Amino acid sequence: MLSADAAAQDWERLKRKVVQMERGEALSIEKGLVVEPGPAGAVCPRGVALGHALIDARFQGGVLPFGVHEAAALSMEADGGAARLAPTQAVGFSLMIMARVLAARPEGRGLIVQPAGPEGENGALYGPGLAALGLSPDRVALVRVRNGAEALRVVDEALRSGAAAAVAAEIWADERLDLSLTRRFNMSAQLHDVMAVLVTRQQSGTSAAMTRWTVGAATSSAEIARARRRGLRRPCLGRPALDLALTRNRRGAEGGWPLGQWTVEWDGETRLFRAPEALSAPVAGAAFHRPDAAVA
Amino acid sequence: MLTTKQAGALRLVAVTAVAEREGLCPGLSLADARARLPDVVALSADAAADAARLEKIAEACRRYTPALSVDAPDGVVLDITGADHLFGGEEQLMADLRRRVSGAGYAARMAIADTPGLAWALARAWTHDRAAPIGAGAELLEALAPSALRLEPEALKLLHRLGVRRIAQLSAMPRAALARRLGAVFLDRLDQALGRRASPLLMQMEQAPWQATRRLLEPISHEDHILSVIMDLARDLEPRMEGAGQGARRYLLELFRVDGAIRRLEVMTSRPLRDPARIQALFRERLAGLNEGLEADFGFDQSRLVARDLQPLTPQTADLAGPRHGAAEAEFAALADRLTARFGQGAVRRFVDHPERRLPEESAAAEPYQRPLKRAAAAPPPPSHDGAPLRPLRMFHPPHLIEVLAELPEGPPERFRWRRVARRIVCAEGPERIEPEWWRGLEQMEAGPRDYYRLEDEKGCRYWVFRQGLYGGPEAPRWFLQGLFA
Repeated sequence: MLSADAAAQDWERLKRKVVQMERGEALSIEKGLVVEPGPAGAVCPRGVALGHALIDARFQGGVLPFGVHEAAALSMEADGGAARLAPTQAVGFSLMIMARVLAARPEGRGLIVQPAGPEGENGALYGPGLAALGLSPDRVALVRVRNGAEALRVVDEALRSGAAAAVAAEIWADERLDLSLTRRFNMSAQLHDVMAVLVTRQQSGTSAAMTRWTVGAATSSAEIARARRRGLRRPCLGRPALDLALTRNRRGAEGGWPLGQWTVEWDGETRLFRAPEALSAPVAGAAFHRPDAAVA
Repeated sequence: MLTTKQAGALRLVAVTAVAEREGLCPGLSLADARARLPDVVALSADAAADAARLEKIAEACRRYTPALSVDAPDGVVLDITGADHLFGGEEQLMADLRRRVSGAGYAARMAIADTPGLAWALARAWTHDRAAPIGAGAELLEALAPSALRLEPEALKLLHRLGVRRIAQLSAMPRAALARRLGAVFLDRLDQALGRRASPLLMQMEQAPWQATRRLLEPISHEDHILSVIMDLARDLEPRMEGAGQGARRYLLELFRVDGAIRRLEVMTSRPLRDPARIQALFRERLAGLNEGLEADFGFDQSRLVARDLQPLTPQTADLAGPRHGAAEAEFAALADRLTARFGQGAVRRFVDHPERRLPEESAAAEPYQRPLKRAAAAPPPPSHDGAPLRPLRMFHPPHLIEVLAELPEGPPERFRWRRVARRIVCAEGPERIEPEWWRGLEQMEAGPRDYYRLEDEKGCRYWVFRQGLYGGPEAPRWFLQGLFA
């Protein structure tokens, strides 16, 4: 005969299990990914905090989980203007996440995959430019491939080996990037705690990616406002600024709306995202969330 | 029948078997030959093509030994010392070579002897393939005519006049008199043939000491079989390399196809390596990356793995306390090597600074990952100011010429057109002047200094542009867009 306490505990455990299964985590547990109850009893996946409090609050445990993420370049066709420029921002976003992960993992290495072809018109990645974003050029390698299909093969190999802590790949448009492939990528990435960001052109197909983002350019609003206050004619350029839209999130925080839209700044020195208020301090610490229990 | 121009007349250099039966022989002038056989067909000889073909034949003989030399104009010398047992002995090796040479449609004579000189003589004197017994060189040589000694025609003529028909007759003559009459080279030849004097071969390729060879009973063509052979070869090499504390940065795989063709595949690594599994993995990628396949039509019946660019590699002891320091780096380097093997040389790159260069497009480059790094004294500080990058994420090389629609003299553009779209500038910073490298010559100097500006348009897109040339100069300054910021 069960005591009331024991029955209540069983009930709680069952409820948690159902929540996990609903979130598709049962699969991950089978594959050996450790999903341990955190200090507050909440499920605490492994990942890195981005530094922007509002964005981090959208994720379980306040961290962007390891796995596959998709970042699409914002289509600016309607504006007629900088349609071909948004790729730089989307690639920049993937590299900022890489810098974030490498800051949290001092031993980790980053792999950047860049296909040639029409998108090659957007210029070659430049080492000092990476350094300026806080991504140390001697900790990353660049793989140049011919097309999107080859880029996917490189990503596959990198994720399966788990040798790179972060992978940023420009895929642009490739019909092979479908549900089954992203699921495979996701499983190997989570098995090795790898953060992979795939830069795509549009996000129409189904995908097992943990999150989907749309990335566009944002103006140096803080600098513009400051220049206006001081009566300066021409403002300076501020930190890299992005318009981010989180359009899909498989690890949303409990009880909250999982999606959102933000304008963020990237600070290459602290390697954190932050809100673009002038003279603002980072709102949240960037603890690399990896509880000891999770290693066992 | 082949002819060549010699001493002012066309002379025969080679004749067919039929022509030989009719009494024609090399050295005869073409006019004489036509007089004897009016309908003779003469072709002019092509010495260069002969030499090239001889090189090919020599190349195909590498399956027997890496130590070989081309003995122009018509011979190949193989040093099979220590290699014959791989083929079951000297006779078997020669039989195998005979089968392949005849199969390829060549007439050849071959002999195995103690010295290259003796082998040269016997191969030309004997009509069937034989291996001279060890130590029997002197007897065999003495039975031959003096022409077997690689002498000048004048010396041979003289010997003929003197009535010397056998080398045995020469051995009986006083050496000093022979040297006086026939030149010192004659005695050298005689001593070389008899092994009294060393006759080094001019090797085509220095022998690679770190190599393993496997002959296969049946030709293989399937990739899996080739990979397992690679594994065997690497396992053959590993203990030797481990004993010497060496690892190799390059591995060359040579696959000898049944029809004589050789397929060569090479993999490079970013750090010394001797682990068979890793070597096999690199070749697996290399095979998968082949566009045209392995072209294994008939199969390969022999394979060789050569280790090159050896570097010290001391075995690493596993650290019981935890993951080894640098393990992540080693794993990453292995990934880079696999990707390089798969996608080709230079597919994987690393970012390298060249601080000695001033122009931005030259001061940093993405170089092949396997190229050894020149250790920089200290990493330069990241080019940013208060979190804002001073250098672009992406660079155009060469920079794009842009059309500036409105500009302040000595100031940044107000509007410019790039890729057919006009962009209105809201934020601007600069100029940052970068001087050309005057020490690199006039061309750089004439281009003049560059004034760089960082610009942001109303949509937030950021550009790195520069103005080249000065106001008030003979030509109006030109504007270029060189990079894009994130």
